[in-house]
Amino acid sequence: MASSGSSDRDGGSSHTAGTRRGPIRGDRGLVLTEIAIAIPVMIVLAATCAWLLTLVAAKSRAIHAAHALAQQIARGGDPQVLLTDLPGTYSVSVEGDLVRVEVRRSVAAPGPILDSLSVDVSATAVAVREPTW
Amino acid sequence: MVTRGSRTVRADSGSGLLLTLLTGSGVTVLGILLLAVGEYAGQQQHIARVADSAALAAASALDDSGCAQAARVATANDAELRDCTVDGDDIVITVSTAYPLLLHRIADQWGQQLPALTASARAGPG
Repeated sequence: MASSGSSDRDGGSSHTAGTRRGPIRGDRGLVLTEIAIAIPVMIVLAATCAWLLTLVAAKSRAIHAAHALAQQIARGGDPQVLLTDLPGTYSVSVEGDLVRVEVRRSVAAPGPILDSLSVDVSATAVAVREPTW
Repeated sequence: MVTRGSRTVRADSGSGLLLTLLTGSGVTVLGILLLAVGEYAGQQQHIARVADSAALAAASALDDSGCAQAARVATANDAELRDCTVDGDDIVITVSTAYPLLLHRIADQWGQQLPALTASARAGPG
């Protein structure tokens, strides 16, 4: 990019001489074009990274919520008190004395175009129902 | 003159693409690392809570089946029971993740062995 001044002074380069003649040579502006393609690619990659961060955070919250709910239900408590900041939906299944809680939440992709694209983040936790005596 | 000229052309015309490739692969690697570290942190959180649940289950078992109960909880939570010791009235449980995480597999590629995630918890009759 910075060497465009020196390329002006140098003789016509062999591989561009055939394509264009005159004071503006073929490789002038080529970097600009490449950067013009590169910047959207970079933006998409950066947005993907930001989205991954959101996914990781959502997963962490889901794990926490699933365990909190499972332990609350296992000790015979009311799960309702934990539902106020629950990320997404949850389902409970009881197999014998095992309480299995699954928390599921769909995380939408960023941006207006990819909004319909979403990934489901889920976490499962199992706790043993405490005996009541 | 000729070598200077060709060197200038090569540095100039390819630099945008090279820059894109370098930065792009850098950001992609960063993204994969982000995912791996995120999974690791999430599983650390998970395994700590599993140890908690397993210890509670073991402590509330009325007979000698405490360690078996802990093993059951660990297995149901995609973990495995590593250690189960009775310490007086308390029971101390150590669990670890049952499968290699993304970070483990990345470390494997570099010939490194990462220890499995483990967590311990203690519980006793309240």
